[in-house]
Amino acid sequence: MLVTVNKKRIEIFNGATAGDAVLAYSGPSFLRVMNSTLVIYDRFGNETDPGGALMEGADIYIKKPKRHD
Amino acid sequence: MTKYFSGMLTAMMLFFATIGFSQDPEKVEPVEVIILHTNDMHAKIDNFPKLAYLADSLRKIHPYVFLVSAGDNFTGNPVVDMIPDKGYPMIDLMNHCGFDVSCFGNHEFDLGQDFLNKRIGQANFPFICCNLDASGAILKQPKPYVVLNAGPDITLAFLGLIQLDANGLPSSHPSKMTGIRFSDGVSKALDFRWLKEKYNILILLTHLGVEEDVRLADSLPEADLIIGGHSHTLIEKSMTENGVRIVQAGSNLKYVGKTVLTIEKGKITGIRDEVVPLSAIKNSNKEMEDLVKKYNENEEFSKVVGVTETKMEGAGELGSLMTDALTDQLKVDFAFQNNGGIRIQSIEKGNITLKDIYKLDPFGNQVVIFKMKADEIKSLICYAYQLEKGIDLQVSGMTYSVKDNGNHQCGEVAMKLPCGKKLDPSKEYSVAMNNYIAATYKFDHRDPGNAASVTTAEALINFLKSKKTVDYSGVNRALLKP
Repeated sequence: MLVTVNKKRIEIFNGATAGDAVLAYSGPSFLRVMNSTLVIYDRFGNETDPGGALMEGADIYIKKPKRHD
Repeated sequence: MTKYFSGMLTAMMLFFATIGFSQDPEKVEPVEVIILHTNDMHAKIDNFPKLAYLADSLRKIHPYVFLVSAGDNFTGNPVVDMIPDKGYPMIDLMNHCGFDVSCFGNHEFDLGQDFLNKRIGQANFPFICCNLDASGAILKQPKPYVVLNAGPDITLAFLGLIQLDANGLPSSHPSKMTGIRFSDGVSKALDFRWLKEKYNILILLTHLGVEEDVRLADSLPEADLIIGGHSHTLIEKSMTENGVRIVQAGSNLKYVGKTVLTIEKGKITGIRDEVVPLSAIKNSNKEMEDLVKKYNENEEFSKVVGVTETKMEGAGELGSLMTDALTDQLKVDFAFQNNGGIRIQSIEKGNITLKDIYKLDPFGNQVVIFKMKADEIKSLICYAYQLEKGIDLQVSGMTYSVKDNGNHQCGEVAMKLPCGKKLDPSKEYSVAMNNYIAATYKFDHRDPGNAASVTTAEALINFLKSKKTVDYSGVNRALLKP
């Protein structure tokens, strides 16, 4: 299926998670997600766990975590 | 006398103040209902004592507190998944916490229908799903919805929905769902519009993912609230689509969602929602702590799942074991395992325990299956060889050799079946690998691949249990040709 990570098109197997898509996008980014220096967000701006299921056409973004004051 | 009248006056003032003497007798005070919601707990049990403490604390001061789960209660923790009574710890802990209802998640099916029936039977709360027909299956037909009461006048209808993949099934191994028919959740939900008219309050308890929840809200604006799961989304800021509030609380029981409904004359007049990080709750329920400790210290993990007749050493022997498990358990032609995913150097001769398996394969990797032709398999082997500057992929179902063209460039690749014949270039083979290889290795494949909804470790455990004894002495199926 096709998804995008930071607007880059990624072709990934059906049933892939958000983490799989980030892994396919960039190994170093995946490691940063796993140690929480980067966070995955969906197109609505919600934080998404790397284990979250992805749908065909999903757009996700990896960014620095939002501050929780 | 003056003292008497003064006392009477005070009492009368208090009386009228209490009954609201000047109030409109038609006016009904608003009622607040608190819904605590989890989703995608994935068998993570460590925060249950904090969840129980929070729920109990709210129940002490509030008459109407409900605790609900939006599915995927199971799968993701060996102390729940890989024991003979698989899944039971979650049901026990959810019972102790006082859950009121759960919808089905796709990973509920990972238990298998027999186990799932048992777990649902042990639960003190219903599992609901409206887009599932189990009339031809082992699974007992769940109710589509449940109605919870908050006092005599307020009824909340919860309707359960489960996601489907492109293949029309939830994301679990198809063999686990034999005989069950599924229909599109969003379409099916429309058949239950009447719940809103009958009960005034309609809450959709979904395991669809946030994108589908948005589609659902667009189709069913009558709904008051969607409590979602599946996409592991942490909705921290209120999210409303087409007038329908959508909430979801991350995953792995790191958070619990708290949605407060203000209800007047049976109808919702206000919704407040927040997600509460359970790490921020400093107290915990002591009884639950003991239960969680008991489950985490399960002696099952020292139990023997198989025996090796010889010490297994190196990537060749260990990787052959791991890939044989995949070809055997997933019924595929070939399987590959990258050396980087083999996390121990050896397993001593003798007993193999569950602990050994989780040391060997600790990542919780999922199995992905591709349909591939020989030239595509060759491209995978070559990519891995050049990536790691040497043999990287262990294999089952075939042997292969790589000739180095110099400077770690992949040259001739010779692939042979166990009978000694070459692979048929026109044939499509089924090939299993872990999700790490599937996501990161750049190789030719016309088939996009499909997650098999089983972990590589689970396959290995089941393989060893079925074989009982293995011997991989000297096995090495991937060679560098001189």
